[in-house]
Parts: sequence; structure tokens; C-alpha cells
Amino acid sequence: MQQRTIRVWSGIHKWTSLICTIFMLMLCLTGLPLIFHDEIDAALDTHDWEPANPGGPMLSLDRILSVALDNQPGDKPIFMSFDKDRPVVNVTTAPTLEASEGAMHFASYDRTSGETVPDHESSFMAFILELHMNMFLGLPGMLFLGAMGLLLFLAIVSGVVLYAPFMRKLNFGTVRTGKTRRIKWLDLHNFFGVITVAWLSVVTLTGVVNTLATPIIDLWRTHSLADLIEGYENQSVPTPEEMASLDAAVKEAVEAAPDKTLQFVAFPGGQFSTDFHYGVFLQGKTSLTQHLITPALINARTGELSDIRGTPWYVKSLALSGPLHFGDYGGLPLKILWTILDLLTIIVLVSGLYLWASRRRPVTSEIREPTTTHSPSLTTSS
Amino acid sequence: MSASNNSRNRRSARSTFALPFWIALASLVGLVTALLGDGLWNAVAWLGLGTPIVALGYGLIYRTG
Repeated sequence: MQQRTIRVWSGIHKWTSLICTIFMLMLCLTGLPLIFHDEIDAALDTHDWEPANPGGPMLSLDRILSVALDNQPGDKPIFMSFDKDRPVVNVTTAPTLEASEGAMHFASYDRTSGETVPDHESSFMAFILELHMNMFLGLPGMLFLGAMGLLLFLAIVSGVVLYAPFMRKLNFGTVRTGKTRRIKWLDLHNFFGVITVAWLSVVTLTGVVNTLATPIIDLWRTHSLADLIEGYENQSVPTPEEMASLDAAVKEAVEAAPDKTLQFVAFPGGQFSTDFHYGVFLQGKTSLTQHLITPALINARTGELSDIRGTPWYVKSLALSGPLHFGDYGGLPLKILWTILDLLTIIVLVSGLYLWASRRRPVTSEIREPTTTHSPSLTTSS
Repeated sequence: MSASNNSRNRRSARSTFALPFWIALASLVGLVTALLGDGLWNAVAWLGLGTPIVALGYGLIYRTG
């Protein structure tokens, strides 16, 4: 590789890394507890909640919805989701359909009584998650972190390119501890960097895709669902009083897709449906298809099923980017591997900062072929 | 990695990237396999994504000094 080429890649590596490192450190640190989100929530859960009438008859979804709307007068329904391991329905409402996530109201209801269920998500984990996702800056914060992710990916690519000249005379995995501290950390940086490269690339790129969730869902709604609202353009979003039975809609959707299970309902006018349909989202039952969601769109005024349709590739990519980013899809051993790789990444980030801060000469001087001696020593900085 | 690669010889890019390539490929296979199913699929995934950790141990034990 030409000295000049090395200098260019080295410049790319330095600047992309310098800009994103502080954010990546934050993401790696907040990501650590998030890997064990389920375990931490389960450990903090006091297990003292029980349904009011265990085994008793379940209230209808329409009834739960009206209780939820009575509890937040004036609100409009946005989402309804269903706990898997207990008879609990979660209802999200908001003062307006355009309300930001922070302005929404979330409550859980006992399906056997209609009573609210105390929140069992820890506020600490919610804080960590918000910091990790958008640094409390909403969509702009999320997109900003996506941009930082792209910079990290450039840093990874340029790091791989630079690996070749740095390792020209070294065996894989060599860590020279007998020379200077800087050489030791250079070797560790290169070694840890190159063994984590595939995992970190996947976690980085899926993280970037996750930051694009809002534009991706908006694109899906305006493109893939456009035909469903033809002829309805002049109608208003149905009010809860105007909506057909939610129970009947859910039943119709589930019966139309017997190979799938119910995941959540998006109400008309929200981000996940048209202005006139219930979006009843179903997930597959196998390990792979459970990550892919298929909406049944049901006319919210008439209760008729309009269509069940698969999602386009960009929504599938978003759906698969979830597990591939979180590492929560392959049991506890996968989470432990995720943790180790995350810790190695932290070492790569910090050692990269150290190598930059302790730099003495241009990078090319560290890998230049010695012309007068056969010494394998590659650097003169100490 | 052949024994003839002593540290004073220049290595080709192919030789430099041989082990990193296989480690990356095993990692990717692991990442995808865990999506495909449970049980045996997960075990394959752990092996695949465990490869970087094995390489880590190898480097720190045999190549440090």
C-alpha cells in the first residue's frame, strides 16, 4: 500500500472515530444493561401482582378500551398490546393523534377486572433505554445517533484497511508487551478491533436501521397502504364511538391468519395504520417469522377486513434489525457473548483515544519499512 | 498460517486477513443462525459468535510477549 493511500485511510479512521467515539462509548455503556433488559426487569419485578379473578372470564377488548379512555378523558386510542404470560392488556392513548411519544399515556389493565395494573418496568431501565435510543432528544436525537453509527461504520472499514499495513510483519494476535506502552495498546487495539469487526459491523448497521424506524414506518404507511384509503380521503378519522367492535376486528384478523399470533393493534390515524383502519399486527410462530409482523387492515367503521398483506423489504429489514441489534434472540449464552464483545469494543474505543492522544508522529512513520536496519521495531515513539 | 511466516517477512494481504476473515465469517454465521431457530440452531450460533472469544484467548495466551 502506498504511503499516501495509508495517510488518506488513516485520516478517515482518525476523524470518523474522533467524532463518534464519545457517543459510541455512551452507547456501549448503556447497551450493557440493556442486553439483560428482560432479566433485570424480571429481577426487579416483585411478583406480587395477580389478576383479580384468576381463571375468571375475560373482559372484552372494547370494554378495556372504554375504561382506558374514561381514565384519560379526551384522549384518542393509539395502540393496544397484549402481555404473553398474564391476562394484561396495555393501552396507549394520546391527547392528539400527532402527539409525540412523551405526550402519550400508557396504562396496563387486568382483563379479568378492568383494574389498572401497576407498572412493572423499572424507571432506571426506561432511563437507560431513552438515553441509548435518542439521548432524550426525540427523533432528532435518534437520527443524530444514526449518523454517528454511520461514522463508526466508516471507522470500522478504514480500520480494516489499515490493519494490513500495521500487521505486515506481525502474526495474527501478536501483542508486543516488551516494548512501549503505546505499542502494546496499538497491538491490543488492532487485535480486539479485528476480531470484533463482524459483530460490531452488524450491531452498528442494525442500530442505524433502528434509528430510521420513524421514517421507515412513515414510508410504509404512505406507500404500501395508500391504495386502502382511496375513496375515503374526505372522511374524518373515526372517533372511538364510531368504531366497529375491536373484538370482532381482532377475531377476524386472527381467523384469517391461523399460522400467526396477535401482537398488537394500531388504531386509526396513528403511525402504524391508515386514518380509517384498525391495523391488527400478527407475528409468525416460528423463531424466524416471530420477528416479522404482518398487519391485517380492518375498516374501523364497518369492521370489514380490507387486506392482510406482507410488509415490504424495508419494513422486514427494520423488524430483523431489532434482534440483531439487541442480541436477545439466542438465549443467555448469546447475551453473554454480546456482553464480552461489547466490553472488547469499549477497549477498542478507549485504546483508540489513547493512541490518538499519545501520538507523536504521522501514522505512516509507525509502519514504514526500516531502510537501514532489519529491526522489526515499527515505531520510535515511546 | 504457515510456519515460514516469520515476523521479519512481509505478509501478503491474503495471509494477514486469513484468520480475521474466518473469524468474521463464523461470527456472521452465528448471528444469522440464532435467528433461524432454537435448540441446535442456538448452539451453532454460540459456537459461531464464540469464535472471536476463542481467538482472543489464543492471542492473549500464545501471542503476548
